[in-house]
Parts: sequence; structure tokens; C-alpha cells
Amino acid sequence: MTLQRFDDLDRAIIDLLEADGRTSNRGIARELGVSETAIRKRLKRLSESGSISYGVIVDISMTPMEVFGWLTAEVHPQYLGEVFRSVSRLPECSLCARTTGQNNLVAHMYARDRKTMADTAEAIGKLPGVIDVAFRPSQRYFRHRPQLVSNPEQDAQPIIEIFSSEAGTKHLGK
Amino acid sequence: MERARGRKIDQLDHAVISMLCRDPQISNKAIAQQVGAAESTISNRIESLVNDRLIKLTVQQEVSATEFRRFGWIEIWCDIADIEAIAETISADDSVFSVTSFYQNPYLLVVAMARSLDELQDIHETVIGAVPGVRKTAMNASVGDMYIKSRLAVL
Repeated sequence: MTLQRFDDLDRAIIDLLEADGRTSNRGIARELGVSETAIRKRLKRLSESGSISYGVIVDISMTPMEVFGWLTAEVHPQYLGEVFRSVSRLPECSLCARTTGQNNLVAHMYARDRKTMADTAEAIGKLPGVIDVAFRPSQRYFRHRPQLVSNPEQDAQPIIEIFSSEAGTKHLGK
Repeated sequence: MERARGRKIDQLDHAVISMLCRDPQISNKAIAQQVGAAESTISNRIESLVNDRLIKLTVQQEVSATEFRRFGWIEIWCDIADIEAIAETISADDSVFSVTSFYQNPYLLVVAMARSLDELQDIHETVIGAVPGVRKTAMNASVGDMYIKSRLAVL
């Protein structure tokens, strides 16, 4: 997979689609004064290379998730790659990275309640090579840029599993 | 977590969101056929869900296709009274990916993005360091690939 770096036209198209992912090629073409064929070609190249992907972002109030926060772990270096992959695959994980410092793994996690979060943290603590795990629940998010993703092709858990049949039930007007 | 909006959704909204999650590019016509509603109803429902900020239909960029190569996690110690002002100031910076507050010190965690480790350190020293009320900080930088899903957000 060769990722395409963005040029000015790419950025202009992405800006429009970020605001409304269902803008038609014709709408984009009209807005930017470029032919519809040019837009279609660009978008094909950008999505086939994996540089952009169409997505649905769901407001947290629509999901059963109640606990959000940052997990840090200290992992023996020999096991760090494996633990990184394991945590990344968890449906409760929305971001995972290896970092400098004594705590060399960081992950943003969510769960439907404190008990589930504690169970997940405990399970991570039992992975081979994990020396210590800590979780800090978030009080508030002042900023988050959900338009950035990384390695989305690893994404084995579509959002539908978070927004499941029971998700959003607290909003279901009965 | 604070929940700002208590808007009710019904079974139809729910079905529409589920189908959009499965295929963000599905046409209104295809949704209408599958749920047995008029195409105009589907289009109105989607518009209302988007306007009420319950869902956002968007494109997402792969980080490695952007100029950002390094992410930094910067913890900030401050007085409880200064949390909001510090967070708002830092959130306005273009290099900031997220700003989270916590119930105990370090009260804030800033995730910043940069083209290089040098640039990240520059953000740490000159952007974060310059904000009044920041008492001390600690930064860890990303090494290697990252995994970011970003399917939920406070919209």
C-alpha cells in the first residue's frame, strides 16, 4: 500500500467531505470548479491507497459507553510489540501507541461501566511481559480530532458492534 | 462523563445509523428499501441526526498520509482553578490532537502531533510551557506505528 500525500486539491476535497461525508462528486466539482471526472479520479486514488476512508462518527451519548480514559502500561521490551498488537485489537481500545519513558504503552479505552473497565485493565495486566497497568478515568474532553485515524485496515471490529442492538437504548423513546 | 443532550431516537433512527455504520456510502434509496420507508423520510432522518450532532458522516485521514510523524503525551500539573483556562488555550493550537482533563493532578493530558521529535519538543516548551498556570509537565513521545480508530467522539 503506497499512501498518497495530499496536494492542494486533495485537501480541498477532504475539507468538504470532512464537513459532510455524503457530499456528491458533482457537489464537490461545482464547489471547487473542477470537473466531476477529476474529482472521481482523485477520490478513487485516495481511498484505494488507504489515505482516506469514509466513516461514521457516533456521539458517545448514543452508545452504552459510560467510562472513558487513558490506560498506561509498563511492558518488558521483548513483549512490547505483541502487547501493542493485542491491546490495539480490543474493541474497547480507540487508540494505542508505544512511547518513550518507563510506561512504554499508552491506550485510550472505553467501557460500558467501571467493572468492565477494571476487568479489561486486569486482563491487560495478565498479558505476558506486562509489569504494571494504570487507568485514569477522563473527566472531560476539551478537544479531540476524530478525523484522524491510523492503520484502519486492522480494524476487525466495525463500529456496529459498539453501536449494537442494545446500544443507544437509553435514547430509544418507548 | 457529562451528557449534554438527551434527545430521543426511535427504532427507525437506530436502523438508519446501523446501516450507515456498516456502509457509510450507502444511498438513501437503499436504506429506504431495506427499512420500508420513503426515501425522503430517510433523508430527513439523516439530516436531523447530523444537525443534532448525534452522528457525523465524514472522511477520515490516515495519519501516515499527513505530515505528522510523532505524537506526544504531555501531562500537566496545575491548580484546579486553572484547568479550564489552560485546556481552552491549548485546545486552540493546531498541533493538538486531544485534551483530556482528570479528577486528580496531573489534571490535564495533551496529545500533540508534530513532524519530528524536535518539533514536538518545541511545542512542549514554547506552546504548552508558555501557558499561564502550567506548574510542571512530563512528556512521552510515540515510537513506531500507532493505532487510532476514532469512531466515537463528543460531537
